Amino acid sequence: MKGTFTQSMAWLHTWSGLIFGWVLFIIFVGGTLAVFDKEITGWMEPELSHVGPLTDEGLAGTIAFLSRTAPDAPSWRFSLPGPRDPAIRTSVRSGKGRGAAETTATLDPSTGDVIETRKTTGGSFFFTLHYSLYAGSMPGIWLVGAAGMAMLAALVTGVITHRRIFKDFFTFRPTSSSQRSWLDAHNVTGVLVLPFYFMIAFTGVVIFYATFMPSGLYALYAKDPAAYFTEIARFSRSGEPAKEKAPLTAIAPLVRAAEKDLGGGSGIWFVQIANPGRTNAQVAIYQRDGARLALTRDHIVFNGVTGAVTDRIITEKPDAIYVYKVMSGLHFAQFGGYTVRWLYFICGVAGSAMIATGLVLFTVKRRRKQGAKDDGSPFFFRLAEALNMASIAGLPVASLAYFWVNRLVPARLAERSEWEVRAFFAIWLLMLAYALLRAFLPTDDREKSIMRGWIGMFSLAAFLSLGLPILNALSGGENLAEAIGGNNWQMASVDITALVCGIVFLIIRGHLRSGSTHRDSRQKKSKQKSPGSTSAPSVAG
Amino acid sequence: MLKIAGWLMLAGSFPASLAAWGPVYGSVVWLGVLSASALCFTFILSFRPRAAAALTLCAPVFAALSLLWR
Repeated sequence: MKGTFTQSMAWLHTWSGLIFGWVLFIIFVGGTLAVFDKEITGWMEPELSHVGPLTDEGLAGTIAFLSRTAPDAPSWRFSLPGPRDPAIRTSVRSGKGRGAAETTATLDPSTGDVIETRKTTGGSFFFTLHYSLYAGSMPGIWLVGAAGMAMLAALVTGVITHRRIFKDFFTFRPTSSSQRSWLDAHNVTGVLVLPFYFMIAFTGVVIFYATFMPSGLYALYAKDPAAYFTEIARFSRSGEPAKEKAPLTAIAPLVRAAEKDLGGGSGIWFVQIANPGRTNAQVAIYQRDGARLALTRDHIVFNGVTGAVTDRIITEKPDAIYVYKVMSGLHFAQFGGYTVRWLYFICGVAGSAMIATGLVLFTVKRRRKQGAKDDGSPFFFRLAEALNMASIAGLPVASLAYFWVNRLVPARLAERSEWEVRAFFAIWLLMLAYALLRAFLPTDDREKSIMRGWIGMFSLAAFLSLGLPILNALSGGENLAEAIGGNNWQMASVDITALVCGIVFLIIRGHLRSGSTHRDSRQKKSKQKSPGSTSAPSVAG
Repeated sequence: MLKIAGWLMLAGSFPASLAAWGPVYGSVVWLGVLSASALCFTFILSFRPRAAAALTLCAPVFAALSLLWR
């Protein structure tokens, strides 16, 4: 850190942006895809394309299925079909607490029959990647939280260092010098979507407030921290299962009553049954998120034997914790339907582009300063080049490969969903290894070697994206024409988005190729003339 | 003159968004739509400046349609 205030801010922006940039890029890409988690899951379960609507028989069949397969479980839970998911999904935990094993099944909502779908992590893979990077629950959440704080710092320092923030509002000069156009792209994607970045980074950190700043909680709830969450969520405690058995009341009338009582028009999300088949059975029926901006999780609790309403947990008067619910609502984007989802998706893509251009800018600047032939450049800058390549180009390749693996791995394989995740990380590691080779193997033209790596990875990404609709049609999914014809836009939009991404990757690849041939010819010219005329103006300010 | 008209229309779009989406979602959606459209517009302006000029003439029509379609 040195010199004036602006210079210190620029220093902080560069280094917090760079060190956390790679992690932030993963978080942003994961979060952007997680906006459509259920749609991705739908694409990954082509067996579900033709299921009927929800009926009373379907609900009764679900209860019959659960009492047959898990008669002694402490609780059952199943989600009802909605606009984004056509099936009933049951989930039974073998015990209470975090360590309990979970058994899931997918049922037809019109009959309650089990549908044999392939076991897949689906879109929730990107959700987990987004908030914990698969680095284990607690270490991952802490790492993502640190990255969120770094992003807030980078946003503030970025605004301070950007002197002509209003004048350059729409400035993007793609055809000027490479460093200039990278800086423009970074500024445009950074400034125009700034309110979204502040909102998403801040709310993202706030969501885990109890994890990051637990002292207050431990001071007040030292004996039983879990009691705090029970209190704020107003969970109804069900107690231990009673000894005596009693038949469960019919669920369908309860679902209808709860839907009417909760209102909001977003329907029922899931039903949770505690102590099923016992005299103290309890049925809680939850409203689907999206009835309002805040994630309120309103629900109605019924006596499981008589069917009488025992509790109504409905947020009417905003309290202190409502602030938190609004913030998590803003972050999770469950409100406003597909318009809001697409807005979040576009802003997320812009955020990924902002981080990517910032990372590239770092290496472009260093490359300029050190001249084209930097074979003697310090270890760190080569590492930065490799990590840039592995994250910016390698992550799309691995994510697309995840979609491919979903269709190519046999549907009956044991531990299938685990293998999907393993395949994602294996392919990503492969990309990292390739990037490291490109950055560290001896060569007489380092820049060319690195550029080849980028072009290769983007070619692969383009191939995987453009091939995805074809793979989908060949491997049991509804093909694009059928999906559009049948008005199945959830299926069609995955294919269409893949095609658009493929075209974007091709354009990037084209630019890289023309850029590198341009550089070759320029280098030949400068060899004939005098070398050393590449000193770039400093743009840190 | 054009600049003032532009600012006025920008200001006018906020109550329009509130009216279409309700007071709670309206402000969020307004910011989101502005960000996304500014982003698209910058790219069109950079790569296809003529198309951008044509688009600005169509913009009020699109805006009216989007309010109806919602």
